[in-house]
Amino acid sequence: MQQERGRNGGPNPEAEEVRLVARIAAGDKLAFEALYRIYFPRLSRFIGRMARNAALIEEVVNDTMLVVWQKAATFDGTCKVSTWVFAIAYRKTLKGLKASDEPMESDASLYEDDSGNQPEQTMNRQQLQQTVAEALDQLPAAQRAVMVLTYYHDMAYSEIAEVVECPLNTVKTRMFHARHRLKDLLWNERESSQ
Amino acid sequence: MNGRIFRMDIPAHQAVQELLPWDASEQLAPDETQRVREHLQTCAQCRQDLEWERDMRAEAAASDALPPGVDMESALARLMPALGAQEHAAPVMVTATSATPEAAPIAAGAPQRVSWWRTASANQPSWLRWTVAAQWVLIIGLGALLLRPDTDPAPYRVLGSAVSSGANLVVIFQPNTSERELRHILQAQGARVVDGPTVTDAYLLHVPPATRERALAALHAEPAVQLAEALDGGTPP
Repeated sequence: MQQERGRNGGPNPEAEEVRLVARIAAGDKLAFEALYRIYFPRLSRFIGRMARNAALIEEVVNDTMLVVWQKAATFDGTCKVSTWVFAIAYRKTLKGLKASDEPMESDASLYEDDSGNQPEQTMNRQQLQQTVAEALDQLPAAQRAVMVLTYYHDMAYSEIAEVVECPLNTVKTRMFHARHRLKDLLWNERESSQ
Repeated sequence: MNGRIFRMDIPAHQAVQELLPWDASEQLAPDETQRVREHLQTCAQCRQDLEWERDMRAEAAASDALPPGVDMESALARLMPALGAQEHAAPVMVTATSATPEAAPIAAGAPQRVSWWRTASANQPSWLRWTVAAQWVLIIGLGALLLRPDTDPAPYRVLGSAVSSGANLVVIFQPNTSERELRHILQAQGARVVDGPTVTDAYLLHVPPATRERALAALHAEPAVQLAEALDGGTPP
């Protein structure tokens, strides 16, 4: 029950998470710890795409999970547990970024000197991941959140609309523009690394 | 290239373009998937873009590492002691005879129960009113005792004595049970509340020992009763 589980762990992860939330609503701290261990990796990866400071990431994860503890009784099962938790996390992330001095929109120049790409090197997978991550960082926060939830968290656009609290078409439009921007950025990165 | 002139349906192309990321992750509704498939047959640009989407997903799946410097155990250790009160009192889901969380009867209907609870706890649930009323009775009663001239000393009683001496049933009512309904149920069985509500919202009852089994069966049959158990030897939950 308390072991960490990945995205596909368990025969029916959603039903298991719903049961955990119901137990949390009854004040069960063991259930809370189990849900925390399931969600910490996912939330920290999501928040980590928006904020870089490890202390801030942990703080936002804890703020999110504290709300889960406090409001578990209000979870009504009309959406997935993950949609509910990520919606809280998204709001907490924006709030955390605003409260901290971290820039909401990344400065591309921060990465120009430490990409590690040498002209003579071919771009290996790790470098490509790094390049994608850096390109993601250059997207506006709203577009970045939609893209991260799509690519890194396998969410449907209807779930994303609930997480970021915007209309379905806005999610699709944000994603469309984010993809174009990301393609341009990746193209530029590749050009400059060759 | 084959000599045919193909006129692209621009709105359809744009709509499919917007759906491609979720087609790659197989997150579209069947009708949307169908629309994308049909369009892909005639649109090389979208086929190429779909491949790009799949590459992006592969990249994302490969980068599964946590952000550097993040430590789950230390973060969890900081949070656990800070868990305070929950926004709504816990719904009655823990059995009176076993307070261990593992014994909580979380059934397949848990979401519905939480959903109901959300509604019930939106304002003033009946149990809260009665708990507050009971507190006031207690406060006024204790205040009266303090003000009363201390003529004859009150006999000393152990707090648990009432529980251990009289209770032979424990019952948990559905949280939305009205006081009137609760009273009728108890009166029908000749039951008397010995203690409660406890921290698990259970009531300890005394019924005449001769009719206890019948009362237990009747309580089980009541929709308003969530749990009813016999207490052997008067052991409180």
